[in-house]
Amino acid sequence: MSATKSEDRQITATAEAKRGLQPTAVSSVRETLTLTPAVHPIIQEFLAAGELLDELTAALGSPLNILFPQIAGSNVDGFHDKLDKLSLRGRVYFAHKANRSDSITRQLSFEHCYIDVSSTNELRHALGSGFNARRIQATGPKNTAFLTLALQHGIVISIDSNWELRELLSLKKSLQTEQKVPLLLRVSGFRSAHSQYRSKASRFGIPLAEIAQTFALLEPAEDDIHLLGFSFHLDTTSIPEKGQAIENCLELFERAISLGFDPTVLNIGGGFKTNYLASEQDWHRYTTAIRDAALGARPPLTWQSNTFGLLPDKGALRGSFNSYSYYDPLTGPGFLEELLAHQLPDQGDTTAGAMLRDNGIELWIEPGRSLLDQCGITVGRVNSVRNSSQGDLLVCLNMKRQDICFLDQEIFVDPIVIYKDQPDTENPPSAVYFAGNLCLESDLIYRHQTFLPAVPQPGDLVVFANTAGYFMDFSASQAIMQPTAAKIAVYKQNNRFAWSLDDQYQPRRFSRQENS
Amino acid sequence: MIVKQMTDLIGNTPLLEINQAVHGLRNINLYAKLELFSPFGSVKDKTAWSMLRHDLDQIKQKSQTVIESSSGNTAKAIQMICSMHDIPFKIVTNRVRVREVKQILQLLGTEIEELPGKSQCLDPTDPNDPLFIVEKIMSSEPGKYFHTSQYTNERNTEAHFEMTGAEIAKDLGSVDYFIGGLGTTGSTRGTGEFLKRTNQSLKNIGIVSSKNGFIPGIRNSDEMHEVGLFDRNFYDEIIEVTVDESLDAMLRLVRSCGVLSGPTGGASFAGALRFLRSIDAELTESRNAVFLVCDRTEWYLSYIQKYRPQLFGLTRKAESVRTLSDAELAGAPELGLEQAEHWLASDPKPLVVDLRGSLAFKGSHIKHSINIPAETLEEMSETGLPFSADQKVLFVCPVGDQSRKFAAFFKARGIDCLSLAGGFVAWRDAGKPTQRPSARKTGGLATVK
Repeated sequence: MSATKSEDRQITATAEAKRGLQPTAVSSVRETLTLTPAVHPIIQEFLAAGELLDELTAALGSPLNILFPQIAGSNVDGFHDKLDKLSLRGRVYFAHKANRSDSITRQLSFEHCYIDVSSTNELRHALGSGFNARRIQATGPKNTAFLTLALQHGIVISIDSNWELRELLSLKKSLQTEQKVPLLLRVSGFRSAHSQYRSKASRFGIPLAEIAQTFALLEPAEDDIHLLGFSFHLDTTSIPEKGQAIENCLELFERAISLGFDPTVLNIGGGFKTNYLASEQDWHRYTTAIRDAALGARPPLTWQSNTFGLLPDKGALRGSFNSYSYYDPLTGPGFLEELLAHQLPDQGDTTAGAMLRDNGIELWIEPGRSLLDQCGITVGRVNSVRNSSQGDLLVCLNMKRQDICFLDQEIFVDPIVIYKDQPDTENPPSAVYFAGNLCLESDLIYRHQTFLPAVPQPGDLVVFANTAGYFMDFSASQAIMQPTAAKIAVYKQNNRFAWSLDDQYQPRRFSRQENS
Repeated sequence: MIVKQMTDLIGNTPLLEINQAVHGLRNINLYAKLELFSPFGSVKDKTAWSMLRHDLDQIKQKSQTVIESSSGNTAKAIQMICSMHDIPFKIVTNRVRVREVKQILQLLGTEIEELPGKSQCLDPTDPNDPLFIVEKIMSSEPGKYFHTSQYTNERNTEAHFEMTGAEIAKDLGSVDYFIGGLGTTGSTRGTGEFLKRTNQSLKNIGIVSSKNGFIPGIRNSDEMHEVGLFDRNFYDEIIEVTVDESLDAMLRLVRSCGVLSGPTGGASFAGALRFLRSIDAELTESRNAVFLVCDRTEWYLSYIQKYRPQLFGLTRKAESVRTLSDAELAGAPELGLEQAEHWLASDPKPLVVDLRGSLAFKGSHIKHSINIPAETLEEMSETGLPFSADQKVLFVCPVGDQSRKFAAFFKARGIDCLSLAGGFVAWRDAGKPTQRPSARKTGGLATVK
């Protein structure tokens, strides 16, 4: 009860700072709005050891991307545990697009894992990393070159449009491949009588309204194709919305069966989410402060008073906070479990999991971000520490925003500063901005303030945790000829850390014990 | 009592004095304002009626559709009033998070538009904000909609000034503490403002939910920023309540006071007790406190079940397929494909029970089989033996794991039964005879496989 009491006080204090009251002057107690990252024990141990990291950054420069391939293996197991618990048969496909690393892909080829590729080069990479054709699926919109290579290897193709299906059928004729092409039909535009979602438009998949044409194309092609089943990927974190897509797909199974096909696979795509923060309280406090600042009830804590989509309007806030939920209590395998426990109204409230199990439908999933949860970090070195024209303290790193930001999305997770000299914690900075090495006003690594225990000094290392999934080098460019990060793999075996260049990594068997 | 219109029953809700043995306060008399007695079941009846009553004729005359962004009670009340006047009603929301609330709205015939869940790859140009969407819908067809706008409409506050506040003052005279949950803030503001007139030293206490919890109908402290009517300075204190605290308090109202309150009433009761206990000991004279019971328990059964499954005691029968021991399961009688095929030809003919779902059965199945999905057979087995003692049975499931359980269970009960090892998948993959739908229903050109 006493803990709740003190929380109350905090909330009340925050509420006090709201509308109608003057922003409170900087109080004598220094405000620290930390966003402490969640860090895997293996990585904590690696950072604490220190020496190897110093050598690596000295040799390979800043920025540096470090992958921990062995952690990916445990993540795959996490998803399988949930399927096993429900007696569901299924496959875990690594969504390759989340990271193009060699070491990760090679290591996953040693695990109970399949791979989903979305370009010709990803397909080449998967084959070259040790995945044989039976473990590869081609997804996303495909050009002729991609379709040709996919056909030649006989991999599963998830058809993204009727155009693509026609192209595939004619290519198969001209290539004269013998094997039937294993197909999934990716569909979109889900509807049901029980819920009207104002769902976002999707550029992908065959609209359900056009599925009759698809079947008409498939029926005469029975000797050329093997319809495995259906697939979808919805860009939403809402379980009922995904449940609706599953229901719609089950209707397609029924329709396909009536037409004489024998579908046995449902691929529900990815989007299982990832948690980045160690503390829920951190996330709530920081996001509350951003809202307070947007209303003018406290000094801004973002660059140029950016409000990330929130709009003050006559004392109330409109719009929504445009950010990934960096704290999330239900992610990865847990989210999958919740989705499979979702009751489908059109199926007499049977759960999605029971529906698939009882009908012998295999469940395929394509996690990317959540499969790479905790599998990598990005390290930058401090170039200089200076003030902005407004007096804000800038910590300039030898890297740019694109070296970690996915499509310019802001990352609300504190980096770990490794101070090379004894830090001066007696005089902590109020807050700092991390800036990049491009001569562009917009090149801030973070457009929000980070609250540090001490001011970093030139030469100190700044470690961004959990960047393997989409952040690391998804958007990295060589603008103004600044280098992109070197990529290496670090692993722990027989109680010691070893490393190799990413492209020199040899996959190996790790015991589960070594992975935790 | 004869009434002409259900809306005539809005207002004049009773005030219940909570038994001192329940609240344990020494100097404070605690009263519950029972808004659950309102004709459509909640405090929002007053809000809805006040926002619509003056304009009903106009709306009807212009053939307008009423539009609102509401998660539940306001939508229910507006829909009831609209139905009585034959006016269409549409809601846009991302907050229908309780199954029964949505079902009630569907029963009433509300047009519900739900916003999609949060994106994984955020698109900064997509506001995903109900109020923004409402405005977009309205401007796409100018004049078609009447927006009640409960979050900014002063009539929301007025309703509770004129009714809730005045009613409490009439029943009780002077009130010292008024406690209510914060959603649109219309009910606490309106009521509080009226009561302040009769007692200048009245303390208004607002209840919000903790940021990591969800209590239907009230917001958390951050979400309060989105409410146009919200005025922080009006409240003497804002108290944060957890889901657990609300449900505990709600259960006390239900079980000890005979008040079928919903979780929000529980939150107000919990917040009231926390606040009042902290000052009760120092009081030297008697004081009056009132809290709002906004709505009823029944709307929230699935919500309550989610947080308190134990309340619903869904215990399984002691003897069930689910509770088989490992030893019992190890002894499950199984047959391989060849033997099974042989056994099926024996006399008397065994019955093939296909435990898969109807969809899979429809796709293909072993000849002469009957489809009883595992879940159904499990239910049947809890009430008795569905097979005659002289009937041989072969259980078939997708891969042979569930069928083992049923074979073990029924074998132990004297049925001559077996499980097909490897299940239907093994049977099919081995090319054993199956029955498929006889012909394609459409596309007459195709041949039968």
